[in-house]
Amino acid sequence: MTLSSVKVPEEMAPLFEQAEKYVKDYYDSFKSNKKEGTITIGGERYILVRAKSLRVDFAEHLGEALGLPAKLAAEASDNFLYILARAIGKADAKHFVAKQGVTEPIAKLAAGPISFNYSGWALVDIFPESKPTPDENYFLTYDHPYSFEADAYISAKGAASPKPVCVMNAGYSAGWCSESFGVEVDAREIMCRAKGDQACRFVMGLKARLDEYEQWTLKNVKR
Amino acid sequence: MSSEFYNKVYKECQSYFGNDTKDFLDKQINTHLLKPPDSVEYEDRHELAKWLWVSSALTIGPELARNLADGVLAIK
Repeated sequence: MTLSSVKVPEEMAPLFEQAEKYVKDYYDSFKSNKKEGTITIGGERYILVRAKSLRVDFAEHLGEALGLPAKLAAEASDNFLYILARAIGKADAKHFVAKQGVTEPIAKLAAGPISFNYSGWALVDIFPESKPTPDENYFLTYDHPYSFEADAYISAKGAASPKPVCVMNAGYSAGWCSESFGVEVDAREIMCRAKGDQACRFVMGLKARLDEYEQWTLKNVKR
Repeated sequence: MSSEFYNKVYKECQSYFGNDTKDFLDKQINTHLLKPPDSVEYEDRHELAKWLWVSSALTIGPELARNLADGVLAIK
């Protein structure tokens, strides 16, 4: 079997192949009941949300609701969406791990990027420079090609954002990995298509080490 | 002309919001207290402190937001 929904370093591939089969079966159980107005996957309720409404329009509405100037509104919505996505990522990881019955951190991680793909957030490309260990040295560097946030932003405003926009991509992946490795990690987007970069690239690790990881990745990871 | 209370609140906010202070504070008063900024009064301090806390928590973090709100409540 060849991995088709995620890109990972070769040594991680076997665990991701197992996860891909599981996640595919899970999402193949998608049911939309138009008489009830429900969507279920694996017996769980899901909802569909228009990406642009969530990622682009929300900032303006939050700013208005809280009485924030535009600059602070953007910052507040970024922080809010990061926190929200991180919480969802953590909860989803817990759900998948319980269903799969896996125990190894990498095996727990594996369903994350694939589920991420199947639910339309982005493709995930984890680089071999990554060293995800369940301790303070945890380090992950990866791209999210086709990030829904970058696409939504570019579609609405063009690739002219002054800063990276894929905060939910960062939050969700950080939440999933925190749950999988038992270490509270955070993620930061260091390049973004919405600001004209060639890729949406992230680093993940302990919050206190993100500056170090960002500098290292910008210097050493070339794709 | 700004009220004495407004000026004191402004001073509390300034260390957190710097050059954005006037924009931030005036919008808070307009949006949540439904009055012009120069008419904000000491009696508004509880409602204003509550909204300053809610609105700033997502930008400066919950601890600093709490400190800001406490600072406004402590104004004499």
